[in-house]
Amino acid sequence: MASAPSHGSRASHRGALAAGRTLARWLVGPLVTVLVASFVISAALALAPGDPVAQLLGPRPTAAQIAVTRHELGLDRSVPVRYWDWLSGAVHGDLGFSIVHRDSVATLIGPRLGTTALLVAYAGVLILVGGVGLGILGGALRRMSPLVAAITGLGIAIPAFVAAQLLVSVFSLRLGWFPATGAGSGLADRLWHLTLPAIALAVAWAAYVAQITRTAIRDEDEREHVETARARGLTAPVVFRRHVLRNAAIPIVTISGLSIAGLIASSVVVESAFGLGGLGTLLVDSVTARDYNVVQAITVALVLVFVVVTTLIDVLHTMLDPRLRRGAERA
Amino acid sequence: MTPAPTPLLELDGLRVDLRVDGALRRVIHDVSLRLGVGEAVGLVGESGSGKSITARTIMRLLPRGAEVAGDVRFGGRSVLELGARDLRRYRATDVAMIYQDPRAHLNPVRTIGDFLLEGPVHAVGASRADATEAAVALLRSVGIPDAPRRLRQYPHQLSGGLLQRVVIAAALLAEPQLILADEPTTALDVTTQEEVMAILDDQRRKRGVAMLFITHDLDLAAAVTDRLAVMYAGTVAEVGPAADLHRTALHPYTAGLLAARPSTTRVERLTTIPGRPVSAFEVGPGCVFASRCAHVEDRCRAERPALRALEDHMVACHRAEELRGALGLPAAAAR
Amino acid sequence: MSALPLPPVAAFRGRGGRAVRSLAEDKLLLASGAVCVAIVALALLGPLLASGSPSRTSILEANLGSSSQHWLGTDALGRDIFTRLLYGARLSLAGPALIIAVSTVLGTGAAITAVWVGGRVERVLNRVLDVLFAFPALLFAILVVAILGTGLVAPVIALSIAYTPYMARVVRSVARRERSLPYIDACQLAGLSSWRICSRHILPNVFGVVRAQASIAFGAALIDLAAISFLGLGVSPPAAEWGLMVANGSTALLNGYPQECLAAGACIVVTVVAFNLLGERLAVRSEGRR
Repeated sequence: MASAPSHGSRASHRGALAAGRTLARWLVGPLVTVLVASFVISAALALAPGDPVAQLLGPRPTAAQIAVTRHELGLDRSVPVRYWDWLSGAVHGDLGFSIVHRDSVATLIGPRLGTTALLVAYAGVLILVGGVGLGILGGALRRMSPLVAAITGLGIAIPAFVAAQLLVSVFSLRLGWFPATGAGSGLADRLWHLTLPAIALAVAWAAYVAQITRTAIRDEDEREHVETARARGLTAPVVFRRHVLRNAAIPIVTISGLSIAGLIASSVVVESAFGLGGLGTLLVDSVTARDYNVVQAITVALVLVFVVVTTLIDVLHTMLDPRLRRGAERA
Repeated sequence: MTPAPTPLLELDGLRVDLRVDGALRRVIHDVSLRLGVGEAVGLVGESGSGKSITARTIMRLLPRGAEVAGDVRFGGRSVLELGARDLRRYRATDVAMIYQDPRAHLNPVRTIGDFLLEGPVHAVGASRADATEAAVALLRSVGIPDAPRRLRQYPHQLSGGLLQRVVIAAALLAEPQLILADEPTTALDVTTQEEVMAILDDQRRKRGVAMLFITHDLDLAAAVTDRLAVMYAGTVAEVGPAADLHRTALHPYTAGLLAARPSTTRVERLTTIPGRPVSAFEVGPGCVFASRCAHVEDRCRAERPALRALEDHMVACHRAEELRGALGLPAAAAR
Repeated sequence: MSALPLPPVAAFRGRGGRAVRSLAEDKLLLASGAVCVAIVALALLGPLLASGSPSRTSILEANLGSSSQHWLGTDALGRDIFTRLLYGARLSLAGPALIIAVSTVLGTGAAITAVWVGGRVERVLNRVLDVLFAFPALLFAILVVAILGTGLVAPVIALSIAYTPYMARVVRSVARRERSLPYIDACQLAGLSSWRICSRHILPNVFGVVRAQASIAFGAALIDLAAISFLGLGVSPPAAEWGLMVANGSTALLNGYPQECLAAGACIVVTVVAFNLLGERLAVRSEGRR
């Protein structure tokens, strides 16, 4: 009897340890990644060649003018101090000042965020419906498989900016169904404006997701445990749902998640191709103009989104695959 | 041979070709075999002799593009001609299969409970509660006492021996008339092999289920079955009573196999069969064993011997009568 | 219990058993390989084949359709599109080639080092590679352009780093499998140096997948680099480069002259399809041989 409580406390201790490990994996790890990435970005931009002060003051400023401006912008302080200032400001929503737009970075980003978010979400839905759907079709129906392989093999090779031109030339210029540029206003109008950009953005990724989905299903279908299920007299739909699709869901979820993260990067190109005023166009303009505070804010924001997405994939992965759960050792 | 008027399972001149890179390749030449109700038959042979393909043909689980000639009859009905619905019922309730590697044959992301219950619930249509009750009782009888906990666990949390017991329980749960056991202990630790084999043998006998036991281990097969069928290169070389095959072997290949067993009592150089085992698609028109047989004649190379009755054996050898008694069995004699 | 001496499992099913087809039988491999060779040859010899100059402008000949004089027509400045595509092939292919060369060497080296040394070094290297792998290459390239300025240098450096984990991942899995084989232990017992074992035994075994992966990554790098040019962050305008030509032609496209845009886009797509297909077939071959 005496051993019972100690056994219980050991078990709860083990539970706490497992919970701690989970917390470290899904909270601390990603947070550290974001902090490290933001510091590297900040330091790299601070050390980049080229002087923003010269841009700001125009030709032939006096030495005193330069010194005053440098001080005002905080450029005379060390890299870690500047990072710390930026970070403490960023936590409170202050992302610094754009020397090109002469406005706070937060006000620049705010209205543009919606366009990019809507574009990525739209493309994400297209990928899940079109990419995963096509992949399941190609994996489940043997006769469709070569066709799906051919479609995805071509789709994967079409860059978003080439897809954009093709779509514009056919659906805007020839058929006149969708506008060639602009983001629109109001939800319905915006969706209408974003349809071609979302398709352009989704094509290559959807093809990639479809390819992975198709091979995942075909691989799973050849596994021994699927044969066992068939040997037990289960109907084909039951075998497909309970075994093939269920197990293929693990790589499918991973690749779908990664594709959402990749979409965020590719959206820069599509926004530029369609002249959408989103984060991507702002980023490209700021890179060209060396507007470093804007570049820093946007890239760190994208890294943040990106880390959140990959962490979510990790969580989902663990939910789908019992072998990855901690505390599930052999007993 | 079999006393029962209608055998439970009948393989009749079975021939199987598999599609390998678009071309058909013969893996089974001619397999005829009968199993009575409740009878256990061992199907013995080297890897690639066609044992597993025979079992898969019985289940109609051959890979796409395979071609089958001859017939498989279960309870007098041709399995090869069953419609989709009848085939499912046959697989769900008549025959159960036990595999070599239980870890590969259980879905790693589904619980043991899911695995055990999906047969009765999804294929047969039993209620979940009834099936759970039956499963728990069966797990206990195959030596898994804490069944309710095991039902919630995943395959990676169980040892290979436990998993194979789960597979045996799943096979028995369907209350089949025939179990196909394809090397059920080969992938297990030596210590658990005997336990698992004993459980399978015991449960099968208790329930009167017939078994086709596929193995490369002659002694093991002899211990748990009534008759042995020895396969070589996609054909049945000999069928005979399991109990005294080591004394009564009529086929030179059987004799060679028996001589090649290591002795547990004497340390000596093993006798081996000369040459290498040939695959079914490599053999010529004659006897499949002709290239390695010590007693080969011209006739053996030209004409394939049919499986025929001789005493209480079936043997596929032209010279079986002449060679009777001349097939020295040194290893067996030494035991 | 006694058992028969077991020969290797006869290959009646399973992946390993599939016979590797001879080179001549794999028509897809031959076709895609031929297209790849043709594209590279055109890039190298193109300027010899082209009649005119890629930068000769002529306002009077702006936006012409295809004719015997201008096979694919002319762009908004009256430059011959076919000539510019031929000249552009060099820049468009050289960048990705450089990226793949660097990332292949870095990735293979990192992966073999990680697998060979093991322990903490392996864990740290794997962690770095995994984080880098998950980070979109394009975004990384844009960031490096922000730091080093526009041009070809910044994106090539960035993409070389970004593609390293792509190469490292496949090499890692093959090298790990190879490392675990008993013959490697035998080599160590025989007193062979680590360098010798890695370079003479492990490296040749990862060569097959490296070749396949490099071919596929080449297509991806081509797209990323062209995207950078399209955004105006890569090579600057008078130069001929496919991504830049798509950007350049987009204005003409809106005015009803799609030829430059679509021709340059088609060049990118065809090249990427060919290299992807080649990589895929090579991967199948290296899988089958194992």
